[in-house]
Amino acid sequence: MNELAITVIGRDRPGIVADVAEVLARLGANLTDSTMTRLRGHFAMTLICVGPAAADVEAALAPLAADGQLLATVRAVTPDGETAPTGEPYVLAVHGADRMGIVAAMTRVLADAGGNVTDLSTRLTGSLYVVVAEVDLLAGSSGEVAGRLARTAAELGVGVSLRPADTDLL
Amino acid sequence: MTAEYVGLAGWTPESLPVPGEVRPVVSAPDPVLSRPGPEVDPTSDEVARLAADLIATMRVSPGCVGLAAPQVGVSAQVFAVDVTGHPKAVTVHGTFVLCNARVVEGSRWKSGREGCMSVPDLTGDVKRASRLVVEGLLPGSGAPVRLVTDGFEARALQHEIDHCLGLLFLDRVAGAHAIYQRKVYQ
Repeated sequence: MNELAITVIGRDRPGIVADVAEVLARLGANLTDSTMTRLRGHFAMTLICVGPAAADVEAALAPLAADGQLLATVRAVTPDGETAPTGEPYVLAVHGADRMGIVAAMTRVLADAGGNVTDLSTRLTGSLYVVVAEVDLLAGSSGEVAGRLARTAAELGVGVSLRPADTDLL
Repeated sequence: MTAEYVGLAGWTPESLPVPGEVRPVVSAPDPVLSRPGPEVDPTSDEVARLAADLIATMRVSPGCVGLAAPQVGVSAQVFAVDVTGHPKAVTVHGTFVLCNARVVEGSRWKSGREGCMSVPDLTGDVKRASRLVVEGLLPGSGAPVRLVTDGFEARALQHEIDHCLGLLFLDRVAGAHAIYQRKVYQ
């Protein structure tokens, strides 16, 4: 069974999701995990689906991109299987005046400590830049990571907080 | 503390010795919003004036249910709250200002969407205690106050106390997809 990674991004308009999903359904591609959102007026979809050959999906999506407003890419990926969570989940929030390299510097601190970013979003509104990341930290490392993040944030002139992710299991 | 904490005991904004003036509200990323404010002397003229100004500024700001000193550019542990008439409010203590306030008990944590005059373009999902006990001091008299509240007023109090500690709701959002843009970019 082919597993495909598909991205579609372009100028937002009503019907992008319906158009793409319809193409996939027609080809018998089973849409598994996906994220679809609007980023500064661009609509961005990243999805994994299982089923047809990459070339068939690419050809079927081509008409949607014909007007130059949408860009679609399709790539075969190796099924990864479920990976067990390796650490303790935390939420990192960074906010401050926009400048180059905030995400680079803060995520480098996480990476150097063996932290794995599992989800991240950024927003720029006026001159305010906000980063919120969910990260799995190695057990027992959060105190030291928080200290390093605080030092890096101070150098960048931004605020930072690191809190345990709140998981309500019912 | 040895002082005996009581309710607002009839405190009203009119008990402040000076009328308030509307001050400009600052927005993130102004660094004053990320700086923990120092404790204040609630009986000082300066704090009484600040309290009156916070109320005046809150009242001219549509939809504003609370305003903390850092939001008018003053790093200090003083804030005003008034959730009167808000559809989500249950317990309502009217208009009041607290100095050096602390959360002493919080329970029944609930998620809710918060906005902030100092972060005008974003909202976020934040978990807050919906049953809350707060202690602080009244401006002017300096009388100690212990407020027991719930729901929306409890959320407003925690949001304002956070401001006094240099924290925004952005510091407490639940996850990477818990921030929402108010403005649509085209």
